[in-house]
Amino acid sequence: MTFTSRAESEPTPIQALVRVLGDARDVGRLGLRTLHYLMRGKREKGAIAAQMLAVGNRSLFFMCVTMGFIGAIIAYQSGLQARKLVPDFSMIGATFLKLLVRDLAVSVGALPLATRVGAGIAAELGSMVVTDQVDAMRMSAADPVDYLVVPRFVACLIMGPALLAIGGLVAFGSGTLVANLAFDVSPHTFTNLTFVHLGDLALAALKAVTYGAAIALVSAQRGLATFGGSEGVGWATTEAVVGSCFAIIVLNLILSVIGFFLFPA
Amino acid sequence: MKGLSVEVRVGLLVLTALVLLGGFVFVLGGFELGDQYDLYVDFDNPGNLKPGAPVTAGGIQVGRVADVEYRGGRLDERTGRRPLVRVHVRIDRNVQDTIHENAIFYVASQSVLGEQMISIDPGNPERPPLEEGAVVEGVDPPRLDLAFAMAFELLEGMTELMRDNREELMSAFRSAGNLIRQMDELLAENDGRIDRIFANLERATKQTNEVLDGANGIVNGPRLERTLRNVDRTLAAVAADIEPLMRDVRSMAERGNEALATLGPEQRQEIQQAISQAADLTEEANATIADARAIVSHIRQGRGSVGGFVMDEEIYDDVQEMLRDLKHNPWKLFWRE
Repeated sequence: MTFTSRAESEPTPIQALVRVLGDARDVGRLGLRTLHYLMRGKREKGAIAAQMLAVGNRSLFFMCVTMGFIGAIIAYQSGLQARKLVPDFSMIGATFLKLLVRDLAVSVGALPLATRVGAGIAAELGSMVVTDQVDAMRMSAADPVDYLVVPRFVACLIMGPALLAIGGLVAFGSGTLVANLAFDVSPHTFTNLTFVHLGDLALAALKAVTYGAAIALVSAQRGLATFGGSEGVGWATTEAVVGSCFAIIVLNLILSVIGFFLFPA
Repeated sequence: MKGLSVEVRVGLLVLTALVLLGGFVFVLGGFELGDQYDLYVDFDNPGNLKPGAPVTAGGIQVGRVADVEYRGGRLDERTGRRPLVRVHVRIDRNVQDTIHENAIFYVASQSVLGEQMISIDPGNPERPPLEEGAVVEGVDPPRLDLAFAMAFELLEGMTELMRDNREELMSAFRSAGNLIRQMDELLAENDGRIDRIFANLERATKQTNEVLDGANGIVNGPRLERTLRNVDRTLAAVAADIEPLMRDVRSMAERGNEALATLGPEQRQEIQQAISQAADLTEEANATIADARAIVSHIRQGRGSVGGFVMDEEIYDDVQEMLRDLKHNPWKLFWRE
């Protein structure tokens, strides 16, 4: 079988831009349909809980390990840079926490979440598409958005922020440990919430919810757009991860600018 | 965990996240469980002080900044002051008795780059504690931004001045250099003289000090005090007597004028003659006195018989010897050996 996925082609910059805008349009349409079915749809009992388990509980260990390493790396690099500027580590915890709460815990944490959850959603939906299960649902007058996308969307919307909150805590813990071991900063000194304000937390919550929704919608859109058999599923999965990460970065920029005006640092 | 249902397992995870989030909000919101009381601190410029900033006493956190209100110099009728900024602080009730009326509230930083906070110097324990709701004046933090701006302006002005007047400045520096060189040569040439000048100055200073010490002794001594007292007394007596005296003089002058008015031209001529005679008489008397003075001077110098008699000690001794001899031998008056 001759199959050429979008990922295999080498588009010009303009073609790539057009493709990205087209994908954004498709994701937007899928989002609107998802919201519509979220209000009026009929879902299978326990479908959302099952998806929450898959998205949340089964990603917890991966998220904790990843965020633990990320927190340790950020604390160590911050300490190295701080030591070059001022020989004073008393405020390193305060700046670390500010950075972690306002941006890194959610924005950096959302990237491994996108790889873990987004790939799963795209692969699952892509497999259903290539095995004609989605077409069968359509023939049974069951909209796949209602039965497949909405539970995953709701699961990501709830479990995404929950995982990012727990991941942030783990990152802070590992950062505290590294600061203590590498720079002799006591945990009490490191735990300094002076620079963190409620606005930072509100901005982090807004980002977490938005990223959760973006991961679900981008991955579902790529999964439902799968074609070309098992190889197509592989490419759909890759595109879902790339698209989710790209969406997270673009959304981070937009939300950071909004947050700059709503919750000044 | 395996035995739990899907819903419970999911719920536990969500609950954990919610508890974490809630705890974080609780800590960030500065919610205090203990009893607190309010104080208000007025500043002209509290710097970058924000609500939620810690309030410390002796380095220990005892409260938080609840609000920072811009008042723009509006009159506060309660205190009669016009604060620019009023900071509302909430302090733990259990330290209320340690923060006294003369406590000092100032804005400090946690570290070089740290957030600003309010630090309290609790004041004198003998003064009563600050009451709830009291309004006190705080000490503004140093305006580093202002200092930097002024320093920058000064440097800029100096740079501009130097750039615009480079030639004049170089000439002035050259002149100053020449002046210093000439001064140096002058000092080297007159080294001995300058030493003498300084020695004289030192001596003069010493003498002046001695004079001043003496003057101090006089000024502070009893003699001056006594003199001043006497002068004071005299002035008081003069002041008391001057009025009747002046009255007498005035009446005497009036009488004299009246007497002169009654005199005719002949009588006045007689008086003038009498006065001129008196003047002649005085002249003669003066000449006589001068002669007498010359004679006395002669006698004092031991010249002449009288002078020799009066001034010569030997004659005095001889006469004394003779008188003593006559006392013992009166017959010598009549009988000559």
